[in-house]
Amino acid sequence: MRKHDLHKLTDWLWEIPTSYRADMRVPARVYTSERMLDSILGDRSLEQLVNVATLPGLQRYVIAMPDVHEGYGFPIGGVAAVDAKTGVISPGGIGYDINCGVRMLRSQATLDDVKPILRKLANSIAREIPSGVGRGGPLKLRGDELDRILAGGAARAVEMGYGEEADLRSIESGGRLDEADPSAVSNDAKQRGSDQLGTIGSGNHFVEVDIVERLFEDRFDIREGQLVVQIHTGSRGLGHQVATDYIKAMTKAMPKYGIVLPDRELACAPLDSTEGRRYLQAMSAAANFAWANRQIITAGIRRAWRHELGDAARLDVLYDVAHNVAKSEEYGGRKMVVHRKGATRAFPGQPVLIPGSMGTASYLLAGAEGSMRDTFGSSCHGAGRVMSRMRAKREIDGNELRARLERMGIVAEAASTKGLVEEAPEAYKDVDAVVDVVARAGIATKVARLKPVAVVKG
Amino acid sequence: MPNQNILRPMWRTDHHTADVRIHVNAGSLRELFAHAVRALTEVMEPQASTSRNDAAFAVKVDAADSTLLLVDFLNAALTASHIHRYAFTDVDFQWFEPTRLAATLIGQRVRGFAEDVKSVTYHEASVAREGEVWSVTLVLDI
Repeated sequence: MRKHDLHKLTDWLWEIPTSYRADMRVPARVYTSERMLDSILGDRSLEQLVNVATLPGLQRYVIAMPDVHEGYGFPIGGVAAVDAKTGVISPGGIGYDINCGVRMLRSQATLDDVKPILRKLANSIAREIPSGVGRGGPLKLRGDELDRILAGGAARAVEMGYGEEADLRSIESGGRLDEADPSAVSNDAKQRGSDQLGTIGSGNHFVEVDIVERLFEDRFDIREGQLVVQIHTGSRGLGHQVATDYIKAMTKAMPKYGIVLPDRELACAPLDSTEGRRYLQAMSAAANFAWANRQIITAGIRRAWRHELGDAARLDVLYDVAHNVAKSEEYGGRKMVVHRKGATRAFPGQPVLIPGSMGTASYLLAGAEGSMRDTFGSSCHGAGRVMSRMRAKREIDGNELRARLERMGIVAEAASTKGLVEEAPEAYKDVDAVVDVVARAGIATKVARLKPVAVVKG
Repeated sequence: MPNQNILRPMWRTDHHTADVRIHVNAGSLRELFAHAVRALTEVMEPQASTSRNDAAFAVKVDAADSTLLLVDFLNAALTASHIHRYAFTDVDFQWFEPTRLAATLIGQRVRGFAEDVKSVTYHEASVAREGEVWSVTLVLDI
């Protein structure tokens, strides 16, 4: 695809018309500046977005956010809304890490309070929260106990003593999707997840302490200089297996429904079908598992925080968002199911959490009216990768990166140097530029820019 | 640890913005499947074996075509690897046809894996034959 294949609608919005390819059912829209578009055209993300535009039952257009990058099936940073009655559900449109998301905790501490003990604090958090590939936690649930988590989400974790009732009021959907049915989750998926609650895993997942570097708007009870904590993780192996199981099942079922798609990874089934309903039940259960996971991690971070800062030190949940999920929502009086893969819900007034890379910045935004008008209530979800992990490992020196972060005043606790290098700042887009597009498009407003001071990684 | 001689495969990794793309070649379709298992295991980076005994895991898969069969077969291997911490380095096929197979995956139990492969995707996957060479490109979600 080349730039002339896109029509420029505004300085931050471009459109690929249905005339681009005969099988497109709706246009494909891309939120980006012209400069960032050149980079986006460097991988296959927009071809993947065009593939998404072939799904049955789509409404209006499919969308790529400014942090879009190449995935498989759907691009990462993609949004697609389908009619709730006539549309399809595509597990690839949610991704393997179901309800991968971000939680932000608000402290009352400042950097001065923790500076002398910052490394100790990071160590304490790392001790409390197992990280790394396949690392299990101390909590091992099986049978009914695991099913209660799958049905109850964050609320069940609170019942088990992880956190407070008040936490649930600051989580998207209250930390629980009602459609969840644990019986729709395979035994393989349950086995993969049975010891992973309370763990962050590897890849781009992290726990990060940030300082509010700049306040744009007085909202959400935060102030400049205050410390917040971000948790980025999802449903771990359980969610990965749910996606694997249902993509396989839908691939087999598609001929029965007469669905032909350009990419098998987009495999889908009608929402009103056995396969569609079972996937929604399983996906919702995995989403609940992820919310319980972030709730249990929150309890661990609170223990570390109190251990280092005293019993009176509090961490309140500012908000918790999912960025890999499908949700039933209403737009223009019409019920739809919105697929968000690497995209964050951004309802007006809602906190929108945008983690950047560990050496640059993150953002706290507030959803704006434009999201309901233009993007099915959705925003970007992060900075977006530009460099492959393979290239990052080849080009970035782990020791140099650690030294650089140290010079920037960032304490890094990583389970492996490889994991650190793959997530180096230069592997990501400029988060300031990504957020500028979202703000200029009226999707969300800037509330605060956050700078990392301590990172705990898998 | 996996047998390094066996793990000298006809495969290579390639760039993908967020994940891993691998290309696998072989002299036959059956060999392609076996090489793909070894490639998957090597991408997962097994960490030190915990046992001198072989681990074995039986799988049966059927699919509409060879590409789907390969992806489903690899995902069965991946699931077993995650659940049982098995690093598979060899495959004993009880029977093998282009759209169905029964096999025993053979390897060793390991402490864990350094790379978290979430799934083997169908994206871009297409088993092809050119002359005597069978090949496939696979995108692994990591």
